[in-house]
Amino acid sequence: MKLASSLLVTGIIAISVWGIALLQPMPVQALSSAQPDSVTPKQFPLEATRSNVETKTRTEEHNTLRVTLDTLIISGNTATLPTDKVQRLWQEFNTNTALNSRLIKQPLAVYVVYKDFSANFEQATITIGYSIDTLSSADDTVTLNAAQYERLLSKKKHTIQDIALAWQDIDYRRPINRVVEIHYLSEHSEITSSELLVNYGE
Amino acid sequence: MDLLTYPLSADDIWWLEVFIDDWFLVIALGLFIVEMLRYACKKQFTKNLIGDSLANFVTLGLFMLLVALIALTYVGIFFYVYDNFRITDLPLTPWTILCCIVLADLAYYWEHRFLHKNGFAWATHTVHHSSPHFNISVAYRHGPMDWFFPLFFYLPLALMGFHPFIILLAEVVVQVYQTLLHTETVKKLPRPIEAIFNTPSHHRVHHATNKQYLDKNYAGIFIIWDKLFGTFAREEAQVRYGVFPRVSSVNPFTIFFSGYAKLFRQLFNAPSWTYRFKLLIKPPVWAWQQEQKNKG
Repeated sequence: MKLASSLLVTGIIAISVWGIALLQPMPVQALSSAQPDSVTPKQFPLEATRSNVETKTRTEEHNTLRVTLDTLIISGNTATLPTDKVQRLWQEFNTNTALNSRLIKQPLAVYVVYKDFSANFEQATITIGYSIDTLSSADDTVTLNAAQYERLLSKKKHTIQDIALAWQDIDYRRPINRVVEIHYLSEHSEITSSELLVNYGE
Repeated sequence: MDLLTYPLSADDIWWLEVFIDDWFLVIALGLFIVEMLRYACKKQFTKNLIGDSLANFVTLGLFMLLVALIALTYVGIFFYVYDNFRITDLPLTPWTILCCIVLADLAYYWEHRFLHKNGFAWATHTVHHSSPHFNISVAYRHGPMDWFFPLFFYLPLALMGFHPFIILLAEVVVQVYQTLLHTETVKKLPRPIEAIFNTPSHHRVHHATNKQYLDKNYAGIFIIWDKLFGTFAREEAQVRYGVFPRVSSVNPFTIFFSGYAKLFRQLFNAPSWTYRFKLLIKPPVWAWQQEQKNKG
């Protein structure tokens, strides 16, 4: 085979093997890293689950769907970092063998909580984790007190772009307590639907 | 399937890499002793063989000294590319590691082929080929720039989203696999293995100076790359090892710098800057052909 043909075949093989690596089934996969260019504060996907989803109440108010979440305690990986580096935290979460070994039942969802935003919204304290009722024990927990949220994305299958664009709907003029992304999981730990919520301060 | 997608941490992968690196050297030294006993039984154990083998291990020491100096920079480049330019995020799983090993082996094929086709690169790789013997110790016979060229061939893997520790692990796996190929003790392995994998037989051909074997069998783990790209040769005639001109020394420093000493002599004596440039980029056989023409 001539050199040019050999290089071409090499490229095809490399892309094929890379594709196989990309297509592997993953227990939980980060949805976000894409961000819309036009968004002032950087946007990311949030993931979280809620053990007591059933308790939420919804009321229509000024065309905004409001959702109440009961107190939720999650455990996973937490870091204060630029929001555009959230993928690093996902990597840590996905490889957190200690956390996975403490799972006592299949988690219904993965939660991503953004809070303590910096003034320019470029940095936040981010936690990616499971509800502690799926864990045998939990060391570093993050408690989300019962609160009312505005729902930016309803619970259904969303693309990365959907989630990134939903961040544009946040009213950055208001004080933001936290943003919560919930990724609901199937029996095989695949994400079946997602939801994006924001909790504003007074 | 669960095993293949079991999530690993970066620490797990680093530990695995160090474990393989360290313990494989111990295993290789054990196999080397067995080889030497075999030569002794066959009454082929000579002073030159032991001198050459010891020199090989000293070149390994010299190489490791250089690697220690540049290791942080080398790994840092991978992390810089991975952190800033990666296209995708691949999870740290055995599945990813296996894919990375296949791609690293393909990258190794091209790196190895480049080492044989570029004058500057050959000056370091010729050290590995310069031994007139063929045993496990030859696998550790390194040249001074052996650390430099892999960078360019493996870096695309970081761009593709493979974690740098996985890439380094894959590099180590490709290297240690080949270490075992440097032996005359194993003749031929079962046909299915010879068909797919690089074997001692295939690698003896690669180290040969026989005309029909020149520039053949560049593979690391999978010989299928050579078969696919037309660089495969089967071991048939008796193999003669080494390079031309012979490096008739067991002095490890002479051996270690032999390639670049020769290249610098050629550059110094070159008739023009164009000639010097060609010495650096053209295959080593080009310089040999020019010398033959001048003699003629």
